[in-house]
Amino acid sequence: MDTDNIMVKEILDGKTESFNYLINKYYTKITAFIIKMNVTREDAQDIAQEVFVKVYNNLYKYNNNWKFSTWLFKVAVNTYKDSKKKKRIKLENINDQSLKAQTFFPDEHIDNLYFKDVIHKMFQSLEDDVRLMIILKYHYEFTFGEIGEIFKKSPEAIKMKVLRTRKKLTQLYEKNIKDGEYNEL
Amino acid sequence: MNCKYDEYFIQKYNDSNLSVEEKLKFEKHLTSCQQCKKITLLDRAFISYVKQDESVENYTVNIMSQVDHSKYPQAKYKLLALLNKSMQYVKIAVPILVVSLFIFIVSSNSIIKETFMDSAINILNKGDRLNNEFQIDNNAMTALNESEHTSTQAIDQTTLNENYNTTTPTINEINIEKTYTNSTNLKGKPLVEKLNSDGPGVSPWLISYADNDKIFFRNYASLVGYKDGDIYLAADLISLRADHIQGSVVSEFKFNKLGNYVVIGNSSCEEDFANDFKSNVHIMNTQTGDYFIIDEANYANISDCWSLNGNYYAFVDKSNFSNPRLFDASKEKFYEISNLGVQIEKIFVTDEGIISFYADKKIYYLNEKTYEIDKKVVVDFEPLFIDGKNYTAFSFEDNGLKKYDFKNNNAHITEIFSTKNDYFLYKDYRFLIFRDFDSLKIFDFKEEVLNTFPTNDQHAYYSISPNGKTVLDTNSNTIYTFEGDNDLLEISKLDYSSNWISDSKIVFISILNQEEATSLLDIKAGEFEIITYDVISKEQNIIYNSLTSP
Repeated sequence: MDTDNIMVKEILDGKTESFNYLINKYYTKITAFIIKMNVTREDAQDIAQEVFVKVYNNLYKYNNNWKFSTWLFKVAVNTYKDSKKKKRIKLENINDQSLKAQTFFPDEHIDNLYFKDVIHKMFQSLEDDVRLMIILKYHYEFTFGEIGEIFKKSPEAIKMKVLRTRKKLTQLYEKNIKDGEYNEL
Repeated sequence: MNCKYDEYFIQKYNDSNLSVEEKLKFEKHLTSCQQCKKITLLDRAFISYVKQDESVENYTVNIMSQVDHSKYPQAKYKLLALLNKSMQYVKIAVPILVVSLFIFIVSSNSIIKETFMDSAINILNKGDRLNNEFQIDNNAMTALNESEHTSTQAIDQTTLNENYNTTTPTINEINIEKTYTNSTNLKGKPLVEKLNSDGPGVSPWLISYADNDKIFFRNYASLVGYKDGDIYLAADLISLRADHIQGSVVSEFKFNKLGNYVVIGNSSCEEDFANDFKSNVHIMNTQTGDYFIIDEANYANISDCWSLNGNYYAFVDKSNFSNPRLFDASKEKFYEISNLGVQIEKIFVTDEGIISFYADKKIYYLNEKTYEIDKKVVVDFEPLFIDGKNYTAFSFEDNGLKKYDFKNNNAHITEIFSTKNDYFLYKDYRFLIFRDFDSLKIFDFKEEVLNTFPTNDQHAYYSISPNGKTVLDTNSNTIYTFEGDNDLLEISKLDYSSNWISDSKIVFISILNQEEATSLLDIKAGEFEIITYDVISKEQNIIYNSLTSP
């Protein structure tokens, strides 16, 4: 049994202070996860808190066939989507002003601020689910199978969606950089 | 993307999922291909962006103060947790109980037991099942009128009734309008200028077809023909929307054996989404550039086949219950077969225009004249090749190639070969290519012969001579003969775009300014030579030079 599951067992046995361990281990990760979805820091922290309270209250329903982290992120995904649906969160403004390109070709300028802004804008214009999937895959290094459990889809379907979106992003970049200016998606 | 590497390949590269060999090859390619380099960097930039850490302040929120500490010491939640855990075992136990109950019912009732045992034995005994069902299918219409059958036969009859309860298959000529183009009028110097202005794309001048009279090669925007010492525009791929620039959708060219017709369409690499990328599938006369649109489809969802003599082309969209279509090149006529009532997975056509296909785990042989179902055989293999004239089928199963002969009432099975490998490299209309121990093997479905080429190389693609007896490995520039007399070619400019003109001669295109070019943009697509190489006499001939030709 891994440490997460030991802690869950301890909490269920009445040793509720063990929940501190899970908060310390995952709070920053969950908050960063929500921030990556372009939510303001303040709201992201509120959502993260809500996630942990939900997790605590539903811990007796946790099935240890799942990795604890997968279950936790599933709660986080649902809480984020729910908050957004109820319009309880504010999203960060994406820089609306027209982005004048210094270069339209990434090449060695890949790290420049302009390019990062474009990528940010394009990524955040994607639909919620696929952004969540991509973040889980490449930032948190979940397997396609684990992401499939979260979204109740097959690993193949998740893989297809993620890889297809990567392709779409590269195509959109080329399509939207015209005449040295970044145009709306 | 107008390159042989698409975005998915590049993703694999960025995710470090390529073999060392593939990686090195691609990195070499990256040095000369700006398009791939750009996509690689873009894709990498997106992933880096996602991977970037977000700084989260050490926000000391007291979540612990918001939770109910008295909750879990309560016995109720311990019980609920226990119940929840035990649910997983219930999920396993229920199917076991159901199966046990089923076995109990079957074993306690003699009639059910007998029926069940018959079916089980039949399933386990592949040969008998094949023969039993085949005997019924052999004369499907007669079987319908017969009343006395064994239990297995009765099941077969139900299946037959299902398929025949509407109307019998019919074939009708359909009128597909021909589109006339003037593309072939563009020849010589004006064509060279167009090619230069179009640019090379990324992997210019793949030779798609070659014989002693004519050669066809393409870059992303044009299909160019060579005949009688001059070049002409066989197809303007941009106007056909087959120009290889729609993301991972790549254009497909399927020439018939004579090279007088080619099928041009698009293929999406993503089979699940293939319906999103439908485009016209054209059958084009390569001499006039005129074409017919056979259907709107995506090659990822098509099963099609040119007859070995190149006169008939059979086509079906696998993604729905669409009717197969047949093209007779000698008459330039189209036919559609309707009322089949099945979703075809693989279609084949013989030199006589006889159609056979595989659908729903059955092989159907259609009548040569009426196109009604002559024979229907239930099989538990997926056929690689079906010969509708001789009622045979081939399959690669249990690490070997088997031939099934359904001509007589009892199916006759021949094992052509067995191999250690459980896969084959690829198959075209005529040849099956696979690797076995220390040799490459090619089975010729037409001649039904197996040729062995002693080589240890591990490449995946080979160009096969028309008679199947000589193989060109374009990775190592080696010619393999089936007698084992391997020969390293004495030419250096060869790449995967080469093709066979005859059993002893290959042709390839050499871009003239390629060596001086520092990037792909420097390459002029209109400046090239067509070179033939005789693999026996080692004679090399430049048969066309776009700069010096009039």
